[in-house]
Amino acid sequence: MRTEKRLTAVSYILLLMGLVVILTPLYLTLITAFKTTKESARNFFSFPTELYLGNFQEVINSNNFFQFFANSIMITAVSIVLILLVVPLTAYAISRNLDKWYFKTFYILLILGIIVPFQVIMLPVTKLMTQLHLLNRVGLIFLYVTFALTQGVFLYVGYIRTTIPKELEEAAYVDGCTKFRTYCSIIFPLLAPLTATIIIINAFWIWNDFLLPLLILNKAETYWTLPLFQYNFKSTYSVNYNLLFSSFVLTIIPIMTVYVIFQKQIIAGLTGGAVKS
Amino acid sequence: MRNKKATWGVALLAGVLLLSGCGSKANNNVAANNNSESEGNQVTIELFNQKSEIKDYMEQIIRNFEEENPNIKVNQVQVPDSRQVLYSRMASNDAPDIMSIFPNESDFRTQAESDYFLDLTDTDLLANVDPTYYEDVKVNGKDYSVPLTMNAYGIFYNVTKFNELGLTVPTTWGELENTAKAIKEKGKIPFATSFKDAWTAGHLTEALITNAENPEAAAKFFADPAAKAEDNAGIQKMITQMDFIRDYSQADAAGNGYNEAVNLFATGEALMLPQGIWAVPVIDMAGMEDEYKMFPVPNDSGAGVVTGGIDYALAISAETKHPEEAKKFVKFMTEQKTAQFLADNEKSPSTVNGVKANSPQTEDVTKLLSENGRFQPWLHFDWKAGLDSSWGTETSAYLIIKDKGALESWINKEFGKN
Amino acid sequence: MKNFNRHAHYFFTLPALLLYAIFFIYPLINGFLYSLTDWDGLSKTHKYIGFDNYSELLSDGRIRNSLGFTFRYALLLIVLTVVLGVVIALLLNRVKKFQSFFRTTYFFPAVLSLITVGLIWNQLFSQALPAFGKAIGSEMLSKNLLSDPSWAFYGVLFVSLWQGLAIPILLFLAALQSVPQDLLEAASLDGANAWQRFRSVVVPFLIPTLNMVVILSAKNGITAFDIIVAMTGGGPGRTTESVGLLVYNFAFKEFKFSYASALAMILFVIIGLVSIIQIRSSSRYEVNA
Repeated sequence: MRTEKRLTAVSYILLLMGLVVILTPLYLTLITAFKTTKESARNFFSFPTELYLGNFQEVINSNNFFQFFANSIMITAVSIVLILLVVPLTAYAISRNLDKWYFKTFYILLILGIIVPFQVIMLPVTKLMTQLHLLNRVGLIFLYVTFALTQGVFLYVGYIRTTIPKELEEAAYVDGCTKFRTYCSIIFPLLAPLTATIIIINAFWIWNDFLLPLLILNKAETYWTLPLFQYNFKSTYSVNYNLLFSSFVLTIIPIMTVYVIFQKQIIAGLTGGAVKS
Repeated sequence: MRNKKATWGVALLAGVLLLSGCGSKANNNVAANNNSESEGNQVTIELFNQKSEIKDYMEQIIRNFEEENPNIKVNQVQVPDSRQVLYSRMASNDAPDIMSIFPNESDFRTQAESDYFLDLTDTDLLANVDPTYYEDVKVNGKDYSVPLTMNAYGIFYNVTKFNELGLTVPTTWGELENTAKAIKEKGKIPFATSFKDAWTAGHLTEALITNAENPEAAAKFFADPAAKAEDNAGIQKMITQMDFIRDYSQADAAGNGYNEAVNLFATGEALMLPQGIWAVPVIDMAGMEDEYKMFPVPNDSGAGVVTGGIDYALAISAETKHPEEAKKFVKFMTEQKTAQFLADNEKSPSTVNGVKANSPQTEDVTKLLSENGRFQPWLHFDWKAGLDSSWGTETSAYLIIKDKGALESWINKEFGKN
Repeated sequence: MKNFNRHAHYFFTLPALLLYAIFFIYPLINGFLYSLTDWDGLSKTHKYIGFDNYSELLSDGRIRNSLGFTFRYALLLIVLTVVLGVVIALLLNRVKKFQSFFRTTYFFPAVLSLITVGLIWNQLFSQALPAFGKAIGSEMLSKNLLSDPSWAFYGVLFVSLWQGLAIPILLFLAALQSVPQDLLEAASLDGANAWQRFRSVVVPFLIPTLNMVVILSAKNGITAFDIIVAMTGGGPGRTTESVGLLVYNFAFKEFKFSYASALAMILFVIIGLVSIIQIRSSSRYEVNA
C-alpha cells in the first residue's frame, strides 16, 4: 500500500509538471499581449505593470477583425448544418442497403477517401474551384461538407448498424410513414449521441482549418477566416511582437469561451463517438 | 447518464449553430449586394497591389484621382502571398481590372502571350514614360505594361556609426571584407541578413554572382548547358563570398526574416544591410535615427555593377469591364504630379519623364542605373518562371546548412547541365 | 409519390454522391492526369509527357531530403504520441482529486488551431527561450533553437506533441476507464504485479484506441503542413521541409504544377501502404473487448 501512495504522489508531481508545460506558453501569450514593446523588452516574463489595452485596440482598428470573426462563424455554422442534413441521411441509406451494389460501391469509395491525404486533391480542387468561380465562402462550405462525408458516413454507418434495430422502422412503415418521415422523426433523433460527436469534431476542424481557407479565400480580405487572418497578420506585423501576441489572444478567446462553457459535452462527445467507432 | 448529457449538449449546440447559421446567411446576402459594382453612374475598379511598401502612398494617390474623377472609385487590394493569389485569379478569369506586375519576369511574358493583359500599344498611356524603360519589356513588340518606378540592389550602411568608428565606404570586395572585420572587432554586427526569408537570400546571391566575375560571364554560365557549377569560377567565388557574409552576419541570421534584419539595422546594432532600395520606407518606419546611405555591391576592381529592374508597373486585364476607367487611372499614374508625389515619398527612381526622386540615402546606387556599363537587370529575368523562387530557397539553404555539393548539383540540374 | 418512396434510399444518397463525385473523385482523377503532363500552372496549354515527372522525382535530391524528414518526423510523432499518451492517461487515471481539472487543461491545446499554436511557439522560441537561456546562463538555450538546423526538427516535434497529445490522452483515458475493475482485482489475487496486470489485462482494452491513434498521428505526421508553415516555413535550410509543404511550394511558388501533382500521388501511395500495414498487423492482436 505504501508503494501505491508513493505512485500516486509521483503521478501528481508529473501531472503538475505537464500542467506547467501546457500553461506557460498561454500565460506568456496573455501577459505579452497586455504589455508595451518597451515593457516586454525590459522583462519578457514579468507580469504587466498595468493593463495596457493599446495592442488590442490597434489590432481591431487596423483590421476587419469582426468581419473575420463573422466569416469564421458563418462558415462553420452553415457547414455544420449542411453536414447534419447530408451525412446521417446518406449513412442511413447506405447502412440499410449494403446488399445492393450501388450502396456498397459508394460506401467503399467513401471509406477509401479517409486515407487520401489532402495534398493529393489540393491542386486539382483549387483549379476546379477556380474554374467554377467558387473561390469564395460558398465554395469553401461545399468543400467542407464533401470532406466531412468520408469519416462521417463511416462513423454513422457503424453506429446505425450496431445500435438501431430494423424492426423500429418496419413498425413505422406499417403505420404508413414514408421513408423520409421515418428517418426524420425516428432515426435521426436516435443518432443524437453520435451527432454530438460529429458536430464537435467537424466544428473544431472547420473553425481551426488553415490550408483550405488559404487556397480558397485568400484573394480578398473580406473573405478571411480567423486562422487566415492570424497567418496574414503575422506576415505583415512580424516585428511588433506585442501586437502579434494580442492578435493571438483575440483569436483564442472565442474558441476558449466555447470550450469553457461546453467542456463536459465536448469531452464526452469526443470520447463517446470515438470509442464506439 | 452520459448519453443524456450528450443529448443535452447536442440540442444546445445545434440550437446555437442554427441561430447563428440563419443570421449569417442574411449577412452573406448583404455582402454579396455590396460587391455588385455600379451604384448609379459610379464605376468601381479594382487595383491589385503586389508591393506592400507602396500601399499607403497609393491610397493617397487614389484619393487624389477620385477627387478629379468623382464617378470612378478605385478599390485597392493587397494580400500576402499576392503572386499566387493573382495568378489563380487570372486563371479563373477573375483578374482585377488593374494589377501591379513585374514586367521583367518571365511569368509576365508567359501571361502576356496567353492574352491575359490589355494591349496598350499605340495608346497614350506610355506617352510620359521614358522609352528606355519600356523598350525592354515589350512582348513580341507589343506593350502590355506601364513601368512606373525602378528598383536597385546595394548595401545600406550606417553613416553616423561609420564616422564614429572611423570607417570608410568600401569600394572593392577586399575593402568590404576589411570593413566587416573592423566592425566586428569593435563589437558591432557587420551585416544584418535574413536567411529565413529565402527571397532575401536569392536577391543577395544574384547580386553577388553578377559581380563575382562580370555580368556577361554570369549570364553565359546559366545559359550554357556544358558549364558545371563545380568548375565555374564565378559560382565558386559567389559561394566563398556567401560564406563571408554569413560569418559576419548576426548570430541568428538563419532564424530572422526581412523585417527583423531591417530592425537590426535601424536600431544601430548592425551597420550594413544588403537590400534593395525598396527597404527605405521600412527602415524609416522601424525608427532609424542615424543617417544612412547605400553603396553598390563591390567587385574586385571597384567598379561593381548595380542589379535592378522595373519595380512598380501596372497592367490592365484583357477581361476588364471598364477599360476606359482603368486606362484613365493608369494614365493618372504617369502624370508628372503623381509620379513626383510617389518619388518624393516612396523614393524609388521614376520612369516618368522629368521626375526625379530626391533620395539622398540611395542616390549613390541609383545614379548608376543610367551610367553605361554599371547597370545589369536581374539575371533571373532570363530564367524560367518560378526559378527565382527556388534559387532563393537553395541559396538560403546553403547559407544555413553549408552543403556545397547540394547547391552545386541543384544548379546543375535546374539549369539543364546534365 | 409512392414511386419516390420506394426508391427513397437512392435519393437520400444523391446530394452526397454529387458532392463527392464533383469535389473529390473528379479532382482525384484529375490530379493523376495532371501528373502526366508538363503543365506549369500559368500557361493556357499543356501536353502529356507520360511518367516523366515520376522518373524525375526519383532523382530529385530535394524530394529525398523532404521524404527523409517526413518519415523521421512521422515515426517519432507516432511513437511519442502513443507512449506519452498512454503514460499521461495512466497518471490521470490514477489521481482522484482534481482529475477533471487536469483533464480539462490537458485537453485544451486540442481546441486551438495549429496555425495559432505554431505562431505562438515560433515567437516563444525566438524571444522567450533566448531570454530565459541568458538568465540561467545556458549558452545552448540563448539562441533561437528553430534557426539551428540540428534543433529545429525537435522544436517542431515538441510543439506537434504539445498540441497533438491532447486527443490521444483523452481517448486512452476513456479506454482505461472501460477496463472492468473486477478483472484487475482478479489478476492481483492471482499474484500479478502492476506491470503484469497492465500487460495482460489493460493492454487488450487499449488496442482499438491504439489503432486509431496510430492511424491519426501517422496521417498528421505524413501530411504535416500548418505547423511547419507557422514555425519554420521549411527551414532552416530545408531541414524541416515536409512533403506536404513541398507539394504546396512546387505548385504555387515555383510553378511546377504537374510535378507537384506527381509528388502528391506518391504521398497517396505511401499513406495507403501505411494504412494497410497498420490494419493488417493490428488485426492480429485485436481482442474482442
